[in-house]
Amino acid sequence: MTSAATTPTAMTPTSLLRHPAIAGAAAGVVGGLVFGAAMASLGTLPTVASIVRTDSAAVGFILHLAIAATIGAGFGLLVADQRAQAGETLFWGLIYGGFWWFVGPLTLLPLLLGQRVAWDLPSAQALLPSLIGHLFYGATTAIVFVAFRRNDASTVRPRFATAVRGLAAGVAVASLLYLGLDLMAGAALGWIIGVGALAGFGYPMLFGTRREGAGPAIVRGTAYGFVCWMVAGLTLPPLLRDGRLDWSREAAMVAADRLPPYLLLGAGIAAVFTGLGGLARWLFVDDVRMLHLESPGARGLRATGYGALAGLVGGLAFTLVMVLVDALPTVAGIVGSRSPAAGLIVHLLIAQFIGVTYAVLFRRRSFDLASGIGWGVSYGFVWWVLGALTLLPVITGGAPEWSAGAVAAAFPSLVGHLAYGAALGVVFYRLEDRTNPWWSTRNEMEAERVAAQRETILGSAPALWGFTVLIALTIPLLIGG
Amino acid sequence: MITNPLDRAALALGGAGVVSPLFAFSTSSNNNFVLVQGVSVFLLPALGICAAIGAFSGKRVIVLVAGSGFGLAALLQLAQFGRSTNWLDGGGSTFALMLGLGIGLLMLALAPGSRLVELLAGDESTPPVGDRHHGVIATDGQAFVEGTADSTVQISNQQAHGQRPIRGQGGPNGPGSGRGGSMSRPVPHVPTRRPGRKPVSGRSELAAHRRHQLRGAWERAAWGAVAGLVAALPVGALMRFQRMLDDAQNGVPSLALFILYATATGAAIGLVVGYRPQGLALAASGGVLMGLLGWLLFSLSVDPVLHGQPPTWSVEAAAGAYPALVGGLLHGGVIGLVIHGLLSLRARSRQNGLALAVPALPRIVIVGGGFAGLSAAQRFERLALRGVPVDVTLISDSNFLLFTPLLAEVASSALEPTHISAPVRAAVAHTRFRHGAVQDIDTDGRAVRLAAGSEPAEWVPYDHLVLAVGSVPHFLDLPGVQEYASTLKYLSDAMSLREKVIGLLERADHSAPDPAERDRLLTFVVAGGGFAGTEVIAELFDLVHGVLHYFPGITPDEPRFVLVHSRDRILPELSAELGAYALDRLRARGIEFRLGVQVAAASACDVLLSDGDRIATRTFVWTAGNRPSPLLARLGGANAANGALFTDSHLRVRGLDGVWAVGDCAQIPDLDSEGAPFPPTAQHALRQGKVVADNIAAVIAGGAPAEFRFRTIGVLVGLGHRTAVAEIRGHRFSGLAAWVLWRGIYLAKLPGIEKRVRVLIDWMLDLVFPRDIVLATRQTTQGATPARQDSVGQP
Repeated sequence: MTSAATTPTAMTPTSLLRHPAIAGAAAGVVGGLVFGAAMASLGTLPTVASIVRTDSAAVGFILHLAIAATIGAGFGLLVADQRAQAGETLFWGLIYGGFWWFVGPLTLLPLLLGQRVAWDLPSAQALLPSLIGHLFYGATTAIVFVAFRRNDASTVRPRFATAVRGLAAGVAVASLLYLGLDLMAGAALGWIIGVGALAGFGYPMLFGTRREGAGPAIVRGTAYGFVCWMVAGLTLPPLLRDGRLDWSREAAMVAADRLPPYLLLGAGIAAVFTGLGGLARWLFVDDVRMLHLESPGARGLRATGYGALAGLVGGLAFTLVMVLVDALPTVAGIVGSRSPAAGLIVHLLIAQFIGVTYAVLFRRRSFDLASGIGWGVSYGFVWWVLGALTLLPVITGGAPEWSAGAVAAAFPSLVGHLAYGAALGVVFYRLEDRTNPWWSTRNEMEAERVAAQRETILGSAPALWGFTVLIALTIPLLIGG
Repeated sequence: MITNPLDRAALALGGAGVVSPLFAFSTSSNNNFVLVQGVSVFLLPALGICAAIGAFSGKRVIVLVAGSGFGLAALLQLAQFGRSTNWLDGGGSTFALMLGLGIGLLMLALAPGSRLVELLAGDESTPPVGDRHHGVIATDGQAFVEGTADSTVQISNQQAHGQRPIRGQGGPNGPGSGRGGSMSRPVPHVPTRRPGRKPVSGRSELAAHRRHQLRGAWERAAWGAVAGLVAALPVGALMRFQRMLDDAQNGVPSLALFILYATATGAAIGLVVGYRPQGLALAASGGVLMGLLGWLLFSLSVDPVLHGQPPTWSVEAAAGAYPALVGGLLHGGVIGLVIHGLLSLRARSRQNGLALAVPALPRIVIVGGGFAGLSAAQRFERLALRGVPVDVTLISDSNFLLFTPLLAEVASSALEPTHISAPVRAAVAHTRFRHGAVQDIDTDGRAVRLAAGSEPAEWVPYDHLVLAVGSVPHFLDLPGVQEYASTLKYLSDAMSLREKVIGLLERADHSAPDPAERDRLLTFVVAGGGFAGTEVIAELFDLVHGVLHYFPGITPDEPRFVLVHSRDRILPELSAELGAYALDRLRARGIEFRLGVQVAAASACDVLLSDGDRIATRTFVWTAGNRPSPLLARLGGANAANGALFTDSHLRVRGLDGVWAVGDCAQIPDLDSEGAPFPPTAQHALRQGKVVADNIAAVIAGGAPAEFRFRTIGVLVGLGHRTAVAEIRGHRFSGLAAWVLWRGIYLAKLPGIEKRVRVLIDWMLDLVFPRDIVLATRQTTQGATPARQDSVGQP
């Protein structure tokens, strides 16, 4: 019998942090420090202190940290079983923080103060700084939580070449946006090259070790773009300029015209980064085990046809919105017409084209109704930003409509794009299910491989879907409603 | 006597409901802790008695009804606060009492281990939801998200794969043991038969799986609805107290509508999101997502319509409905958490042994990987996706489907061999495939004996057997024919014929000073003037003359091509005009036809005809006869004169229960042609495979099989370079038009787009490049022909 077998395990701080609730609480404290610093800058700590009937900022800070630790413990328990790396856990933290904004400042805090809940839009708009703070809290908590529970053996650090690839992707996408939208369409994007380089460098730091398809990467990149906007577009400018935070609605409205380019930048970086990785593997990797074993081939072609069909169904769902809000003539402007019939044809053709791209990007990524809906609505949101806010105005002879007012005015189009995405995702999933359900297996080994792939997809995808729809529906209302 | 503590608790709560009207008689406000008056005086004891009955009888569904009644009454009371119409004549204390009783009874009714939970989860024989293996186990589309506790997955996998009888890992029972051990076979590795399982049609198993499918969906929806209601209590109460549900404006529903909405949202989340072990975060985020989408659907789209306004989806409308967005988001998130909790309890109850038994699926074994067998397997896959789960095993001695109509083009070097063959594993990706030969069939014990490689033979059991073994060349016992004739049945035949012809050209080019031997080398004889024979002679002609420029030692008039046919016209399957056309075109090229005579014998260097003529040749191709696989002779069913199995019009083999036959090996009566058998063509085999799968599924489901009826679409025969004849639905085509038709149709009929693209590329390259004369096998010119040089009748 060895001594190790007889010695009881010592309760070291490190072993304590292995427990998800404790690690979550500790991470929550760190997240609370970040959020608390922001609250101190914004002067909102007394609001928290009012729960215990005082207006002391110090009491408010302590209370805030206690709440942050409690909520952080909940986060730890919630995501303890998620097989997500640091980058993916970030999105769990973001949606968790966003959810607590609805639960806390909008609901519980007013109730504890004996007031009405702040569920109306003006109240929510006034609490926009709190939302940003909650998102920062969630993101910080998530990253620290992963750091506490990190298993060194399983940690894969991005290589230098990966970082260079990210940098190249960032510069390339930013340059493309600058050339295409600044020089040719008049959008003010002089700032984007530098931001693109930084965002491109940061992307592989968070997600670089993950191998995934281009479709999920684009969705992830879009959410990453939002985070970049939060940091570089909303937080840093007033901090650097005035030495203080300004997350007010007014500041957010000013920064709103940079939100769509940030989203496009993030999506583009993810797509180019993933594409460059695939190209590098295809050119330089001589071990076929490192490559995708299934070539696009026949099933890819069939999936493309299904994508067109699913896109058509989604387009018909979108048509209902377009008819009711009389948007078909605008779409017809792409081909220089004002006829609703021409608009309908153009709209359906575009819907099919996007459906084909969905098939190419998201083939073998859905395995149930939830994943079909999740990828579909997320992709629909990407196309709202790229299509309705950017390409459509440019093609019809204008500049991209990225202002807060324009974003809010395009809300019907957002609803249509989300409906389109949901129908597209569901129909494509059903077609895949009907003909080639990749998750259907013949033996245990195959089942294990499929289960591993599902686990990979589910590492952070549900958080991505929820967070994407959350920001899609709330941000336009909060800054433009 | 109530022994179950859960029932006792339900009785206690029911008793509390029964006695609560005592408060109605309280006259002192100091003692009147609960306000009970009006309708509540009757409602509380009624529901309490209901709960007590459920406790006494042990039927938790009655407890569930009582709990739901209390819960609804609580919500109703909630809706009456501050209104003049207070139906229950109660107050906050009444609400609290009813809510407490309702939640308590609901928790008891849905507690793990209760019969109700078993019912919601399916009965004991219900398989675990979510394990979906095509051709192995197929259930419904919620494969992953629903109740797949790890342990249940392992169980179903073992049932489905590892320990199934098909593995033949040896076991205590032989093939016949399932029927009382009436059989005893001296086989070293005898498969394990499912203990006690009768080789029945599978109807009961399929019914169990169908029940499971419905219950699985219903279960998720039901749990989701319960979770929706549970989540609605805090959210709805909050909204109610905040006066958000007083008026149905701006996308915020009234309380009654909110309850409906909550139930529907919960059911939808239950169906879509479902359950995964350790999936708390997934469930919560899925609930948030669905809550947000529900807001889009209801508050922005349906609610305006309910108020007589078209939806605008404008930012103003969204801003007005913002409270509903917050409510929907919180409600969705809570639903996700509650669903996960409820379904975790259910999964835990299963792990405790309540519902782990997995009924076996009906076992289908398909023997033969040709058009008919593969078509049947593909159809079973499709049926499995549509809710007819079966356990399908496809056995074939070749692991690919050979597109036989283009075999002659492989022999003529116009197509690459693998381009006209599609891997079975790719064509039926979700079916279990066994590469091997069936040696024997035991129709009494319902098992086929499979030999695969060097492994010992094993018995593969079945409930339904589909025989699609095709046909083999039939040499009519003519002397020397089997030994010296080439055939064109398999891919290897076409490849070896091509090798042989090119090898002979190589030899004739530089040697053979003996004129007789040179004639033999350059004479090509084909027996049979049907589709295959006609196409082969035309393709050989194209091959030889297409590559002759590589062989300067051979003059174009030297090669001789002879087709021997027993009838007076070739292509009897076509109309006489097209047959005559084909004959004329081929004769015009110099191909000789010996009609009305038969091959009598063959040797390594010549062919003897029935009229006594002798044709000196080194190349003799036999296409004049096929017969069903000899395997069928071992069966006890009725065989036709040619050895094929007689089937009825439903494709069932006569006299053999559970055995079906399709394709070339079956003699299937054509009811539209007075019972004459269908011809053995690919177009028939494909349809027969589809119908036999449908019929087996129908029989398993307790229905009646359908008759096979099919009218031949048409016949296409290639005649070599840019020429063909075709007869489609009575319309006749010939020449270039028929050739284009022939190529276009066969290109479209090739299995899989990959093969179509490859064949198309082959054909396009054939337009600009000569045919390949590479000899794939190493051979010397001397060794290209058999050593034996004897002529027929010359020992």
